[in-house]
Amino acid sequence: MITVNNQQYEFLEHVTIAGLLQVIKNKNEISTSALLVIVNDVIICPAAIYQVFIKDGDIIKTRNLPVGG
Amino acid sequence: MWKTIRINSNKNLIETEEYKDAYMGLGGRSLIAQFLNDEVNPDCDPLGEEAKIIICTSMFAGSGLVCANRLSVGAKSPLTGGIKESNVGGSAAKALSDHNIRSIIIESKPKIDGIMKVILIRSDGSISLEDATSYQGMNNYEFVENMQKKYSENISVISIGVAGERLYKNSSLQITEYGTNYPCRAAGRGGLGSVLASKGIKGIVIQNADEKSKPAYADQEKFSRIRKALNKSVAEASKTNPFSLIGTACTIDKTGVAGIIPTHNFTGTISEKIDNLKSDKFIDFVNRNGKNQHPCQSGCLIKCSNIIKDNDGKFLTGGFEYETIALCGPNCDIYDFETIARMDRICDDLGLDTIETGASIALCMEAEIIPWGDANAALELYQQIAEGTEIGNLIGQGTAAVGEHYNIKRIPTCKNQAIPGYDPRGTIGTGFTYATSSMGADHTAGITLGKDDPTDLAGAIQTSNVMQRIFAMADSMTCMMTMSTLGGQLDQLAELYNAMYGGDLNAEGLFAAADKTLKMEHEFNKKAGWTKADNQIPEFFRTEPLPSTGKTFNIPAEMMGI
Repeated sequence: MITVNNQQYEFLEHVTIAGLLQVIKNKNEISTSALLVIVNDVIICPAAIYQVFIKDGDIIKTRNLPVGG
Repeated sequence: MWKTIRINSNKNLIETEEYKDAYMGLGGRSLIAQFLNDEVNPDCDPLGEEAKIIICTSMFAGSGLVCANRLSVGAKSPLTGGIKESNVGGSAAKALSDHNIRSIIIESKPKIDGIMKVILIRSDGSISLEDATSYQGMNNYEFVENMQKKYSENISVISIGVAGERLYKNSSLQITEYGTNYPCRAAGRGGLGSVLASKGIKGIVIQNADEKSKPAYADQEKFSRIRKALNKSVAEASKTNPFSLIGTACTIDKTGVAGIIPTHNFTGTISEKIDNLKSDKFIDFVNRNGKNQHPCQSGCLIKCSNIIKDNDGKFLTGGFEYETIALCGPNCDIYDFETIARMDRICDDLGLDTIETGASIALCMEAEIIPWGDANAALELYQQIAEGTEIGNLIGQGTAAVGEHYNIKRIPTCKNQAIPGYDPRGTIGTGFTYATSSMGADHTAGITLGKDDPTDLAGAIQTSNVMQRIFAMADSMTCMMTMSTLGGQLDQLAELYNAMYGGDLNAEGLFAAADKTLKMEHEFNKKAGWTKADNQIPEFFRTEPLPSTGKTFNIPAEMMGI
């Protein structure tokens, strides 16, 4: 299993973080894909979500990308 | 391919150059970082012979990508002494793009100080330097009105007011806004208006091109397909985005309650009057005479801008933003939109950065020059700036200078630049950005505020560092506001880049380019004399707890590279 924002999801092999987030977004469980992603307490570069594969047991937290006026 | 216009203000020479191959794929902030490293001695006097100013468009200008008609202004800042890129919406970037112009470089100094010119780009593409002596001493609104009478209603104008002419370190460049044609959009930060003035340039007037140039694409079909999808996603997100529905002023709903908005010169004292400035009151204020959801540049689908009219129904100001409201309002204990909107108009007219000016006025209150919260006395100080009196000229030197003059201990600046609308004790990641960024205290260099803004040191620093990279990328491409949507489609943005410029960049490549921009900026600043010891947050943020949280700014100096 992996945990995203305190929700548990079944682990799938060969799925990138971006892929996982898209699945969750499609379920309307997150509202945007413009996110800062923290994997196991380490923030990862938003570009890396297309490269990094999820691992069984990952704990992922997301927050909306900050912008300010 | 694009052109670069190079103007030698000493010889009154205008040269049109082919855009350098080495600059292909650069735009906005990335182009400015490369250009200044290539051509400007970082140790130069920012207002001297060796200094140069560059005005350029973003890398997707003219392409139809959402919010891509962004104009960047770059130079060595007379305020911070480091590199400065300040970007702005308005109509000028699209007008330049239609003329196939990517950048305008202005170098050298006039033989005789004080003789000003206008750069005129005519509809047929010809460019000349026109005498501007009769417009000297004129502020932006009157200047634009004169240019419109002379050269057509539909021109775009980049200009400076008397603040720039007097070489004030808080002076802006003002740009006419899309739709209204008023000079209410500001490249505000870093005192770049004074750099343009030092070149003897009052303004740049751009007539609409007779024949509109189109960008060259490596793969136009692919570009159009991706652009359409990206634009659609932003338009869809805008339906629920508070920045779209209300404007950036909606930020007060969060920062006001949390005590993060600067009040009473960054004491953080929360007044019940903050309710006067919440979103519902803002919408009432805007709707009374003006309107919100106004696009400041062509191709904007977010529309976070607004039009504010006075009690007589005449245009008062536009682009009435959170930062202006925060610094000119609560930071001076002023809590009514009408007064703050008048201050915004004066700043745009004189060509002043509202953040720097608001922070300076608060210091005048702290020094007991005028009473706290006295709107009329504050407006009188703005008038003194307009008239160039002794105190007006002092305020024109920036917040740090005002604080030092009055021997004030609590001076809210980093690298000599006033801290914007987020108290660093309430968002320590943003505070880390203020202290460490290449731009000085600048929220657009990497804000971390929002839900789940980290309060632990490691998380805050990590977030700041990532956001500094994201904003370096955004400032080269589009308005940063698009990142709340496009930030989740970086793979598609990379493909869009490839469709325009060729190559096989991926999302990692976009970040590598942003890293290169940041590295060049820091190298410039290092050569200009900045050291890691300059990465300071003002001491009072470390010793005085923020009343709303009881917390201080607690990132140790050694973690900020000291």
